[in-house]
Amino acid sequence: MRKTRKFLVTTALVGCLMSTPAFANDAATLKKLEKTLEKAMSLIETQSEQMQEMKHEITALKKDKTTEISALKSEISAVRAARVEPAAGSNADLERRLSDVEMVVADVEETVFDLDERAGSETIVNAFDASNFDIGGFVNTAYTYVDGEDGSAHGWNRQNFELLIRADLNEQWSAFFAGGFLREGNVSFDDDGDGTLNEAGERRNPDFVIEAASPGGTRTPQIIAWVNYKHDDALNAKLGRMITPLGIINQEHFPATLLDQEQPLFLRPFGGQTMFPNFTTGLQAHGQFFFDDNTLSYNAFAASAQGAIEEEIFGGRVAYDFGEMGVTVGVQAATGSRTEGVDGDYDLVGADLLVDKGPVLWKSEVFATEEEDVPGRLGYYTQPAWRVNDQWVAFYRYDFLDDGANGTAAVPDNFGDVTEHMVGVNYLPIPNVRTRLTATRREYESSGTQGSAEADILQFSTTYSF
Amino acid sequence: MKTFRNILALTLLAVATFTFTAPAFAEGFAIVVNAANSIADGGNVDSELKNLYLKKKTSWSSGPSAVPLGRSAGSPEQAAFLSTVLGMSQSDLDSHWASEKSKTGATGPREIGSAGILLRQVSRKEGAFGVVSAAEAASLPDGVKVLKKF
Repeated sequence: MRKTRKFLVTTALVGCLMSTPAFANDAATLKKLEKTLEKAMSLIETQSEQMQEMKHEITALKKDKTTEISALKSEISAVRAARVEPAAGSNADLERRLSDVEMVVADVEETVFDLDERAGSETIVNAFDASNFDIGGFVNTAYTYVDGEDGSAHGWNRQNFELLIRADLNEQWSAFFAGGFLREGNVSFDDDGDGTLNEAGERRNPDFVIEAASPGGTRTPQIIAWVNYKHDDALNAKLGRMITPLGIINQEHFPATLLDQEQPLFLRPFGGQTMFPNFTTGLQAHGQFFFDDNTLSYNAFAASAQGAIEEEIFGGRVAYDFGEMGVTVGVQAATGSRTEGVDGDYDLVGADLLVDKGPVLWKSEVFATEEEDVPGRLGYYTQPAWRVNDQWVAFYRYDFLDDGANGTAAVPDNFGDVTEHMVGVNYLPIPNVRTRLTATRREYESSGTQGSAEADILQFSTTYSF
Repeated sequence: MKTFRNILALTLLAVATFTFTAPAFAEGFAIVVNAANSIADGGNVDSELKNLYLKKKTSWSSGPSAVPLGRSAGSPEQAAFLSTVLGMSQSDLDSHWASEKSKTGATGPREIGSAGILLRQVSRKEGAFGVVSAAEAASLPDGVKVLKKF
């Protein structure tokens, strides 16, 4: 402190002398300078005293705070000790509540972390007015080899991408849409080699035809588009384009769940109406009733077949699910017209049986038609499957179709009765990926002017769904 | 005779062992519902839970619209719920939802990893239900009750 004061005095003196004019040699000026020097000295003394006081205060304050901190540390130690060994009920209760809070905080952190991982900095999508909006779909690809009587064909004949969208407005109103981007060709025959496939009776020389509707052979059909109103579980009304609610496999429809993506003979060509239209547009009422473990479900529809907008088909299905037994029995019927300009000429009856219990998954269906001026048709299959484990499924299918044609001039597009024996395996490396390998022996009975014929078909397909 | 006695003793021992160990396993989980839901255990509550969880049925027989809540796949709670209440394997369940997604666009119940969040959801929604461990069910928040233990 003394050194500081000396330094300040010296500095002040030097400063005064340096600033003194050259002519300041008279007594008045010198006296004035002395007074100024005195004032400066006095100010320095005052400041020094104040600094000393502040130093004392700081030291005292520091001492006080150290004492306070020590006291706080002691308190924290005491609290910690109390937490480790709660002595009384209040402490135990606090401990429990603290533990609950810690768990909730951990839960919230976990949820936030999960949300952050999912959304991150990405845009959150709004779905206009829907309270719930789900989007998914699948990609399906198949490679097929066909060995016929007079030749063979092979190729990647199916490449489908379908988009599935569901939007719920509330608990009563929902809508579902399925749109497809399809590039596919069915197994066909061109016996006379004229480039026109599937002419009457052709069955010996296989070929594929891509169903083209745009450059590149890709079609983009609207597959499903309906709106559903739910009154309650027993009564729903559906309006729009829908899968015709008949049978088992037609309603399952999508390859993501099917053991064989070609579907049974009576459902081919896909989207056609060999026995009944696979899709219809109109109104459907449907619902379920629950009895103990069992369920009764119904569907009733009034709709038009594709390509017959001015005609109506009325039909329905009733099914009873025997709960624990894993057995479901269904019966169905339809009547009306499925051909434009023809009234009331079409009748259909059918039955189905599903056994889904443990490793067994067994589906069977039979359908028969009667139609004015056209011979009746009969189609049926039985398909037992064995779920070996969560990843492997093996199955066999016996499939039969009588298309009603008899080789007469009235019904020239005859291919006769067809039988298929199919064996296959499905492998699901993960639940959303299904790969299949199937081997099929197709047998055409001789009919009309055509002799019998056989074709062996080997197909590999895979479906990725999301 | 001696052999018979030995077999009988071993059988009784096995039965006793099973009897004393089974309850702890059998009541390790609980289905919780909103306290305002008048549904009670017994009768066909198992099949009702199954139908509601699989969205075959959308309303409780007691009235409210069902809000099924799942637990994370592979968690002990979900595994017990699958095998005991649904009577299904995970692959069965996956197949079910794959089929429903394709046919109607319906998706499976929301999976909730945290019991705390699940219990809060159940307390806020009248038709909500889910599975928790017996320990978690021992101290339920207001508005939640145990429907059944298994």
